[in-house]
Amino acid sequence: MTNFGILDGSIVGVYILATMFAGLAVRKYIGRVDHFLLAGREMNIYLGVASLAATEFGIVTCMYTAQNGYDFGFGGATPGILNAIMMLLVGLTGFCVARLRNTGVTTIPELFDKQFGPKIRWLSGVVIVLGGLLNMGVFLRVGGEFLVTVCGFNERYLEIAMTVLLLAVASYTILGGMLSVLITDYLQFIVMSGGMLAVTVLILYKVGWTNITDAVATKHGAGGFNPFIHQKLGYSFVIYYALHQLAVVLTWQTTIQRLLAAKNTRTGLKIYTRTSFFFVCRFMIPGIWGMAALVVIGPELVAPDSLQAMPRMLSLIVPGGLMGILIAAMLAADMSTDSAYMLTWGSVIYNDILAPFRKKNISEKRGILWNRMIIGCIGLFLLVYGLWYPLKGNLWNYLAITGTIYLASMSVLLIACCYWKRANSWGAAGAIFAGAIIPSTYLVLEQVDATAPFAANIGPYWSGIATYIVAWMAMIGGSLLKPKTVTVLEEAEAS
Amino acid sequence: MMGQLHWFWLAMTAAVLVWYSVITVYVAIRGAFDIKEMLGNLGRLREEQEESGSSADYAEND
Repeated sequence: MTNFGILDGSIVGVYILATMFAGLAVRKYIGRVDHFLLAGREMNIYLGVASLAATEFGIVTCMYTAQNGYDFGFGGATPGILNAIMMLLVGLTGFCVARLRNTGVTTIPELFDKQFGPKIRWLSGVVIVLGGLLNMGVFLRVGGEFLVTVCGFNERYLEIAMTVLLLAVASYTILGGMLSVLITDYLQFIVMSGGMLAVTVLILYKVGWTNITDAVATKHGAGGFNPFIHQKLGYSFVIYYALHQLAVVLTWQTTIQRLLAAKNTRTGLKIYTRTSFFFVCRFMIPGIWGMAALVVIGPELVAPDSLQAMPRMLSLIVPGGLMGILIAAMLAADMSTDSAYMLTWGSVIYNDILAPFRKKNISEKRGILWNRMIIGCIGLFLLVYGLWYPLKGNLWNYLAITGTIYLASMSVLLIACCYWKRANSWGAAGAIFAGAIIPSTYLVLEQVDATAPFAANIGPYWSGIATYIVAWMAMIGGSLLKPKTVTVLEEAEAS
Repeated sequence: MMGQLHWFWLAMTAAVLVWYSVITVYVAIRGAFDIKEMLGNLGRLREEQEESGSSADYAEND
């Protein structure tokens, strides 16, 4: 039996048709690669806020932040608070990102070319795309599991439903690029926010704030309200996520693409400051849903099954009509994330990985065609890897570890590139290697039965902190070892 | 201590609901103007390029 009636289906159908129409209608404005990848750098503040918020909240975000709420209580929202603080600080000071935007580059590796040379640009592109695609690889399956559980559909329809959704998203992203992504992000932000707020109010009304806090206190004790004293979190969790969220704000390509698409540097920084508090909402709202599942479902589930606690709870308490709004909201969240992620990794593949193999004077028309083909290939990859990858353990940890593969090295490279003139290609190569090797090794150790207890003993947070420290050591050591030369950035500054 | 943290999270939840409701309405209104301005600028650029004879790239997308 499904929880999804004709009224719900009509709401979802109208939403999808409106999004597709809007996404496809703006393709006529695409005339140059710059339009396709950065919307001609014409994005203003509030469109930027809508796009950044919609991009950084997908079904997968909702699932892992709810899982954090169920598994850790209110302390599970700590990464969101740290993210908001980092984004606000970076937006107010312009740390790194102002210099990045001022140079007029299309991607971060393009900036690295000026300081570290073309080989590091290429290598950075590979690390960013690998880390990003591994991260994005779980989106489809997790999104499908959410929809199937909440609506009560038969599981065999999961692959079909997510394939249709991906085809819809790919079609407007391939044709309209960043422009379609921005327009649909705007619509998706409104639908997503309205749905999430309505469901949160319903949950607080039906489950009750006191019942939620009592359930958290019963399962987690004082640790459920304070991450520093939670048995599974502690100081390593907070330190790791402070480093991680700073790196996300500085280098996560989907976030940076919105900064680079802004009309100017000032607009980009305002988008950062005005979106910052959204990242608290991003963790708190699904976190409350997850904690409400402690009351409705009970506290028995453990990871990875705890991932299903929140959708199961929603299937029990959301009535017809509101169910349609919830599903439309979650589809909106997922579509905006998928489209932005496909475009952003595609932009790095085109701009940085394929740069050495591309003709210098390639026409705009051909450039756009290349970008469209790359996005199509990413869509195919997502279908194969995304629908068949068997996830083990905590989803948020998987995402954080695969993200760390590039976040650690790229944040070190960006900070060094912007503020340390002595930084050079040896240091950059060392930081990339160190930043990739530790999280990759941890991921392998976690998956092999013989080494899984050893990995569990170290834990993902200490492994992550070690990655940032070793990446910095490699950058400093490598840069000091190489004889000093004048870089393109220094030449530009001198002239 | 635990009581104070209860109040902290209650205040945080209230702030999230109020801020998110307000920003959704505000962004819905101001974002629409941003889209109008962005498409207007890109449309003007398109007309200028078509007038200067470099319209081939646009024609493919119409």
